[in-house]
Amino acid sequence: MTSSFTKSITLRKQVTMDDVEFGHLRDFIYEKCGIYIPDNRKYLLENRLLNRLRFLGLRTFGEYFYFLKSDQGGKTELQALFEVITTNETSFYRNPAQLKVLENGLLKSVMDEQLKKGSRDIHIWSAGCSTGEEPYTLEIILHEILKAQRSLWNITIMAGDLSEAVLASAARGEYTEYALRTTPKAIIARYFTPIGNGRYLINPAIKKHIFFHQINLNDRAQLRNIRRSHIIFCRNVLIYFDEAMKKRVISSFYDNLLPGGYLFIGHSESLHNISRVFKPIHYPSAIVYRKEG
Amino acid sequence: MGIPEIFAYLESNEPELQREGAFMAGEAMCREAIPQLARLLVSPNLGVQDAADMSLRKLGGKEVVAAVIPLLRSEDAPARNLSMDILRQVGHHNVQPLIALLKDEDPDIRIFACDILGATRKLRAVHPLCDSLLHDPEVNVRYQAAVSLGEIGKSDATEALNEALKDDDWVKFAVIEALMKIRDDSSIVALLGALDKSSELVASIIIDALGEIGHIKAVPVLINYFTGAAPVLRNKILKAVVNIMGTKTLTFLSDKDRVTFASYLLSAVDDEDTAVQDAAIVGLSCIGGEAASDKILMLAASINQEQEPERFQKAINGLVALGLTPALLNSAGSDDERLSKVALTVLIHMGTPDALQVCTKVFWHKDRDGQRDIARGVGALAGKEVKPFFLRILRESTDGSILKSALSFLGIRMQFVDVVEDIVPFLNHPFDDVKEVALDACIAIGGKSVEALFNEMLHDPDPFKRTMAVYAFGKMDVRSHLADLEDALNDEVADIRKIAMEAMAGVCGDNPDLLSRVVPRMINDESREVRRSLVEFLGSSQCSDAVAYLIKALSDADDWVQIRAIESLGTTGRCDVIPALRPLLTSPNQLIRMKVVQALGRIGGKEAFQELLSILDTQDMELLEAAEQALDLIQADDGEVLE
Repeated sequence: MTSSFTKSITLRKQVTMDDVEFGHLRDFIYEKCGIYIPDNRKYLLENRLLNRLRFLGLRTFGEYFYFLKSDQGGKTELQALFEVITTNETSFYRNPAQLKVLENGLLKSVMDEQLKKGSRDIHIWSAGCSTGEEPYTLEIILHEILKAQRSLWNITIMAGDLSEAVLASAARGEYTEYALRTTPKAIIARYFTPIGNGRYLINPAIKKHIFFHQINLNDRAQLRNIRRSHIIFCRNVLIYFDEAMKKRVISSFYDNLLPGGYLFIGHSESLHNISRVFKPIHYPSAIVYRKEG
Repeated sequence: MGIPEIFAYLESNEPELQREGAFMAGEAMCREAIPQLARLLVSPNLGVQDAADMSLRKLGGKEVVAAVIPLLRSEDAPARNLSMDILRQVGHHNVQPLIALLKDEDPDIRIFACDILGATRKLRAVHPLCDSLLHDPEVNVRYQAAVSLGEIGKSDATEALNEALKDDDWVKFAVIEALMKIRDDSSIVALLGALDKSSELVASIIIDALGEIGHIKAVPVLINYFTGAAPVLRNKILKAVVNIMGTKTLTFLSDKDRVTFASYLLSAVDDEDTAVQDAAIVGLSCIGGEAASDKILMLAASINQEQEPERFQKAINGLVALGLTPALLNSAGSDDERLSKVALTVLIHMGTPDALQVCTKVFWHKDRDGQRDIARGVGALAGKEVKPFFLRILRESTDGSILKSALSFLGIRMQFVDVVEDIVPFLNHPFDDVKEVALDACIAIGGKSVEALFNEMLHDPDPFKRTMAVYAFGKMDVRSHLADLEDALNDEVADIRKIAMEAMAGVCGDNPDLLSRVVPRMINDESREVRRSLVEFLGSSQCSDAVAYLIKALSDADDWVQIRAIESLGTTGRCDVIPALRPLLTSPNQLIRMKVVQALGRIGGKEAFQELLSILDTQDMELLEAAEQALDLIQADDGEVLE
């Protein structure tokens, strides 16, 4: 019998994280993925990692830090750590005002530019795609706009995330009603198949254009290898980073975008004091950043 | 990338290569590239500018200051702004050329220099800035000098700033702000002196500053000024006085003034300035009354708790101080969710039986979150009088969080013996966390009936029940249930064996018979969790046989079993275990190597000392540091080792 109940109860003393351990873990996390855990989130890190300590049978967070650094299991544990420190609050059709910008002209202008160059290739990068709701939404929008002409275009969507577990979930394409809470009913009917118990499966026609990959936004070398994009979506990801990391990430997006390309960041995020390289384009209820050609 | 390649990139006509070269210059800390990078700040390509900007900031130093200063004279506004921003960040590396700019012929350059010097926060910049403040012919330079002196925040600037209160209003604004930041007591007299001679607008800023500086000397003058002050200034004065005096504000007032002051405080709650509102809350909480309670309740309900937690808490504290007013009681039962939430929060903060009773009365009319808050708050503070309330929750609520509060109150906090039957069904609850609290509640109550229950569960075919029973015996009275726990070591379920082992570890370390019965069969247990617990058990043992078992555990397949064994052997202080530890100094696992080093430090003595000396040539810096610490420990504990 192994269950969360029997695993969680223990007669060992409750472990707490001291400031030195917190400092070590915070620096380690920052070095590995650029995510900065502020002091007031220490309790959150402690709570979330406690289960890892119990699972691994470790006595202190100091031991956990050593375990992460060790060759034995540290690499595997890194993934578990990434899953613990990132939250995956998202949904299909999140922040519709931004998506409207894409639907109502921006995508068409990118397509027109490509046609002028005699190309039907477009590359979109969803950086920080979590469990896949964003890239699938983008592909649904492409289907809605292009309809039968979708097959005439070679539009690829690269969807990356730090956590392999969420990518595996994204690749399965199975969602609860909660993930669809902001999705129009007609869209659900067209692109999802109910599979019972309030769960839905994304249609294979949507799935086939999306390529999921593990990505660490703190790894500049890895980012350089990503195919250059016409559009980048990186919404609600910058909030995890401190200012220096935000600057590095935005700089990498600038390098990845083709001239004239567009960057979407979260509706509550801003590049103010982060970067001046993009030209902000103001739409009703949304700002999109353009790399000038 | 080497320096020639970096320069080739920087001098390329291709913006992407220039950008790459600029980044590389920063990453390689190539100081030779600083002049070239500074030139790229005026590149027409934003990406190139961006890379040069980032690298110059990274490089820093006096060369960057020198290379960027000329751009302050650029006609290209974005390049000028960028250079200002870089100098704000790196200017402290060389302030002298920036100080020299304070005497520049161009007033714009003098303004820029003042601005940048403020950002350097250097004491050396204070006197030159004071000189600009008092003597520069251009008003905007004097203004910026005052702003920067405030930013630097050194009291060395106070005298000049006090003097500058005679300057025109535009400069005076900045001077008052600066004095507010510096908070030097010597400014109080100067500010009070300026009050009567100032325009309404400047007076309002002076009043704010006096409140911020917070010196009691200002209070009588402010109260005198209050009566004749323009209405717009009165709320400012209220705020300042409350900021300085806090809850003792009213002690300064005569009875007549107190009534007047109270009426002003009531209207100050509606002020647009949230700082005035907050001050009014503090003031009103001293005065009391129904009107005050009503006003603060409304204000608290309008505050977004997530975005302004401190303001919300201030309002709650104010309402707590006002006590159980009719307005509070009405609000607790209100259909207005926000108002009701505020009132319930206040009642729970009060924590008195009367207040908590009100919470229990309205509980069943609230939504899930409201019910959770009440159950948690009442459960943590109330006494036995709320027992029926929580028993009803056990019967009627289905929410896990609310149930946990009830179980925790009835079992863990109050330990009501007669509620065991009400709690036991929750040992089978579908939520694990509810099960856990129910289990802890039963254990906390204890007694014969609970013991009998767990005895029965110990032999149940359902492994969950056996787990609970073993856990319970481990928490209740291990010595009385030693035989049962020993039996549980044979359970087919590893988690049960592990908990049994954890339970025994605490009490059986001094029992050689038990050791000889338990260890031989458990040291090869298939579960590493069980073996880890066993090794911890051995570590707590006083029996000499335990050491032999611990040495055996050093060859366990699981690293953590080895680590626990090393730690335990370290605490024995026995030199004869060193030969067994020695081979692990070359373990591929760094943590094992570190643990051996630490164990040797604890064991001490000549042999351990020699062993540690032999690894001082390691390339592993962390191991080296641990070895040095271990050697220090031995020397501190046992100085003769070195002799």
